[in-house]
Amino acid sequence: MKFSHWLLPVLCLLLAAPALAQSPSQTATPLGGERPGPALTVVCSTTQVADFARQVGGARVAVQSILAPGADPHTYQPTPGDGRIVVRADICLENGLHLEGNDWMGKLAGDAGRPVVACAEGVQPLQMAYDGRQVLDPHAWFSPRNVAVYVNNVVRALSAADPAGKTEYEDRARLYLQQLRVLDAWIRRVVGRIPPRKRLLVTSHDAFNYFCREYGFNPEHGYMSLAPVGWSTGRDVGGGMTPESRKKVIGSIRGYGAKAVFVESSVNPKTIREIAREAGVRIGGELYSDSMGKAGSAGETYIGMMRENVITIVNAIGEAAEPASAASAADAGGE
Amino acid sequence: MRLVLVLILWAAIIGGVTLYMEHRGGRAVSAVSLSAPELADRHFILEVTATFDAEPDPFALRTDGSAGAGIVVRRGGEEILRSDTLRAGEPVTVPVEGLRAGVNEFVFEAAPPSGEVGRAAGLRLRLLEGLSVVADRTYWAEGGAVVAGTFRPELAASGAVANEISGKEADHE
Repeated sequence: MKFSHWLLPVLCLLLAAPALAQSPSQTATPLGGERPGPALTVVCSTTQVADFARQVGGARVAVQSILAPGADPHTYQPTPGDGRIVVRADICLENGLHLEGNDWMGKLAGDAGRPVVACAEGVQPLQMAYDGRQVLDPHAWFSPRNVAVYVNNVVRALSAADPAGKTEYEDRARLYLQQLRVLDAWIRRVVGRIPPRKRLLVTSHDAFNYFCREYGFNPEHGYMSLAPVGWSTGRDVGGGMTPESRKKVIGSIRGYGAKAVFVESSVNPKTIREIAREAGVRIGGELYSDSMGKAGSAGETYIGMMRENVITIVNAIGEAAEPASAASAADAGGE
Repeated sequence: MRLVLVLILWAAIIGGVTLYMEHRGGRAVSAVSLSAPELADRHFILEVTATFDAEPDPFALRTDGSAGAGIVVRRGGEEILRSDTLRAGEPVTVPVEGLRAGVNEFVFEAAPPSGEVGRAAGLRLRLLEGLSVVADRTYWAEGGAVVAGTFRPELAASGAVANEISGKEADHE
């Protein structure tokens, strides 16, 4: 019985030993569970740029987007509330290439005295026709290779503003760049099942030049985005249409020989449906374009948005050996 | 008396566990020994041959704004080969100095053209001493992934290759 008298203290000491031996550094997290707040506050013009900043910044950066999902960056009019958001920013990020109509993000940042970085800086820009003149196409994010340039710019901007977080930003960026690589390879594989001469993409908004160039769409049109002639962009699609312009749109859809036309998720589909019916084509589906999807939707991130677009396009064109599916899309970069 | 007995037992148990842990840790010796003799009088050449035209990796992290390279080979943290002109089937050679007896590690990465996602990309690395092949290994990657890994020939002090330790096969992403 004596054995049991000292066995209990020995067991207690053994059980307590690991806790007693633990160094102070291992117990650095306060018992209250408080964590340090973000090191930086970043305000972005568009949902895409905000996503890139979140991917690179992680919990170290508080990211806000001026534009809500579905909003049009070309025609956006800043509000006084936007000014109050930008004032709290350490740094502002915009797409650049004149995507932000009338340089609204640059003006917001300038008024608040905050630095602004154009994420598309360094991209090889394409040209597009706009109001009868050639302008730089701002929709560079439709090529994941260009997004790699955006990501590198985001890393540089965040590291300059918060040098202590440089390693963390670079580590997170490396992972995200690998996801972009996987996304790019997946798109090439899926689109590669469509014979090149069948890759005809007609959209309500000629925002897909970089996508067409990267993945070989519209080969007979110089691999450039096709939008019906007379069809204006953004929210105005179909709005204020005259009988003449309507006739022009229908004629150009027929002229392209398209089987389907695609619309943006942010536009009213009523007029577009009518025109598609008159032109004898179907609506291929809604594509994410200038804006990503709402929280909880498949397009709430850049990678999700691109996957959804590719699945919609490939399934609608219908010439693929096997339709793209959500299952195959799971290979296209984890998030 | 009881307290002394408890302390003795406690010390014996903790001490035994500590000794056992140290013994285990001591057995895990690094395969790469920096104190191994340098094979100064022997001359080696690294030969690299790809099945693809390497091009700068568009998805590389380049925070310094520098242009990427089609292929980069490093040894001991130093670049011994950086090239944008690696063409399919055309070997590129680089003299290698300062190899040591034991394992010598070459870290490499090469990016195939992004359009070639449908076929595997291979990279062959050979370590030559004069006309004799000391080590020879081919690494593969699929789906447009970068071919990356470590080439780890093990050299004997006498002259013959001791063994080739298999490195990371490839970066399958």
